[in-house]
Amino acid sequence: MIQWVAWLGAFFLDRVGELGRSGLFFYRMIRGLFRPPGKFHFVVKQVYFIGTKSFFVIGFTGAFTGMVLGLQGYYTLSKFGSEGLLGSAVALSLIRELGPVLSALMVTGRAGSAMCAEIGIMRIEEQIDALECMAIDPHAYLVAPKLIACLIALPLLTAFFDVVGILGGYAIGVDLLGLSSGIYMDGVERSVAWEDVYMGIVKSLWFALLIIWICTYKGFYAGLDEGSFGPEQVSKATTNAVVASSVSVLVCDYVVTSILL
Amino acid sequence: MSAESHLIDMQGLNSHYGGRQVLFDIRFTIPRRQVTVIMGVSGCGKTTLLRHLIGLKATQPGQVMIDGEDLGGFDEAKLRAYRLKTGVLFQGGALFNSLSLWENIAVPLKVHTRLPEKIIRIMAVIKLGLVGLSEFCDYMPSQLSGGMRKRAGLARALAMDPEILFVDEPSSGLDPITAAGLDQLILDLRETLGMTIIVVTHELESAFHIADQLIVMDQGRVLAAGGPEEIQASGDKRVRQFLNRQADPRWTENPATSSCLPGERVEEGKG
Amino acid sequence: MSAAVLDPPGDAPVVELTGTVDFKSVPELRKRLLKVVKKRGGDGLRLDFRRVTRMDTSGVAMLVELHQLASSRGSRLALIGLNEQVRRMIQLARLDRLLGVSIGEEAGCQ
Ligand SMILES: Nc1ncnc2c1ncn2[C@@H]1O[C@H](COP(=O)(O)OP(=O)(O)O)[C@@H](O)[C@H]1O
Ligand SMILES: [Mg+2]
Repeated sequence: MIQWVAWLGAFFLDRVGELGRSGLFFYRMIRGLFRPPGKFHFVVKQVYFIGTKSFFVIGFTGAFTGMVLGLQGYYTLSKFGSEGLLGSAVALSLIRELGPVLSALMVTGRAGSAMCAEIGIMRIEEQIDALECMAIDPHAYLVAPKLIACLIALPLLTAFFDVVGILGGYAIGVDLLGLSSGIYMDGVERSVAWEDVYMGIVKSLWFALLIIWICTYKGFYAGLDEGSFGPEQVSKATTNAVVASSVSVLVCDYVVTSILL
Repeated sequence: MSAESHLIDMQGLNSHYGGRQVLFDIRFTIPRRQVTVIMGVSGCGKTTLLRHLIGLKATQPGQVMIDGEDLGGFDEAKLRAYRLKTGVLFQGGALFNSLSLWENIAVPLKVHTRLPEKIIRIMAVIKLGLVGLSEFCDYMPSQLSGGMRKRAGLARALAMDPEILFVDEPSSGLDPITAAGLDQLILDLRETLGMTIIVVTHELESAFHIADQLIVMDQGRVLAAGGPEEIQASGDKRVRQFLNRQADPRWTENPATSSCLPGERVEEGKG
Repeated sequence: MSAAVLDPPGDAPVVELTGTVDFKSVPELRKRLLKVVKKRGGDGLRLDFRRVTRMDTSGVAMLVELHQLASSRGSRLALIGLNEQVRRMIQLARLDRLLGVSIGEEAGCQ
């Protein structure tokens, strides 16, 4: 029994310690934005990595999400005889909800995991130590450019996702199910207000912050708890990063939605 | 010797990983403009000692003085200034594997100086030339052997013309000829630039060749410190054992006494 | 660090350097010296090091660049009055042959 309590205590102390450390990491990451070295070159590279290279995946996911929404939406709406609302339904659910969330999840899987592994390898091979010994702040050199790049790339990818998704819904609703093209597009145009777009952008900015924070944090401290630095630590960190980052995106989605609604 | 001539003064360094103590009351001094070699079998704490000296592992106040100042009390600005004067070669080389060799050397130069790229590239080639790798300046680290990566790491450590150089096992994994070349480079650096150099190694021959001062460590403690002749003449049993490359008697101890065997150990913390 | 350009008529231009030639002073110094070499390409350039106290690797690299530029224009760089430290710096990089620096040369020049 006593052992049980001790175990529980240790567990919570661990969590609190982790919370403190990740908070400190967050502070250093933000501080890193304002510290040398110059970041332009790195940011461009990272935008290419996060953005351009995710383009295809995002387009693909967006198209199929829009198509499924078209099918399901049509089926549901036709029960109430209001197929005419399909355009609004697809556009609103994409722009407010699915676009930001699914884009963030895809970027987590594609770029977040890679960043975590990259930084984790730099940790176990003492490259991060080497940076510190050169009087270079690794948060400013490694992490901050990724944050800027993701803040730029994720909203753009989200917008791309939304557009492709709306076209996917169009393909199903209009071309396959025979809805009039004018009705669909009119629904999109009339129902989407600035608040909806704003909500989508705010969400994707928060998601970008979360993804980079969690994924680079996990990589940065890969193996430090075990006190051993090997490939297993990196793979473990990467798995943790993807899980934690995805869950946080979903939780954050709920929080932002409830605040902005 | 006056305090002035000592760059680093270890005044009883203790170090722990978790609850386990790995360095015990380390005391010695490192003179300026000389080569100090730290020797000892693997696992005795040489790398840990180095990590304290370069500020990667926190040091308790009052245990290590650098240039008359307490390393344990360094604030961020002081640590930065200290690191700008030092170069470090890590045991594994620690090259950035997404950058070519010359770009690796360019990293500190690009961050800390306003030199144009062309000059930086020439500097990188010069540094690579010091370790015999100028032909490889456009290679990626993954295209090199372990020994070459080590040498490239040394070239990077020298990028900013440091006053103090820390080197962790420069010649392990190198062929004898290349290793001798590195020894000569270390002597040249001391001779021509007056660098203070701290080398960790377990290669006896190289150690005695380059050292002005030798520190012999064992199990986290300093066994002996002094000039090469002093160490050679030492009567200490463990030092002799190390110098004569005798097998460690602890390796042949009875495994039944090891705490790692499962069974009749008393569980701690119960009751 | 300062650099004074003297241009004796009918002879190679001489640049008198003063102070330390290091990564702080090289960016400015390099610009000025490149300008001199480009303007007076064929005539060669004499660098007077007598009042230089210290030089680091960035200084050596700058000399290599100047040397390359001068050679491409068919002339040479001459270094005068190198002190011990500067000479060793060049020798360590094994560029003494390339830059025409030999041991004991400075005795003849001072
Ligand atoms: N990150 C670490 N976590 C826990 N123990 C460590 C760590 N690094 C080294 N040690 C332990 O510290 C001791 C000294 O290691 P080290 O300084 O690397 O020795 P050396 O460099 O002389 O081979 C060893 O017993 C090793 O197990
Ligand atoms: Mg070691």
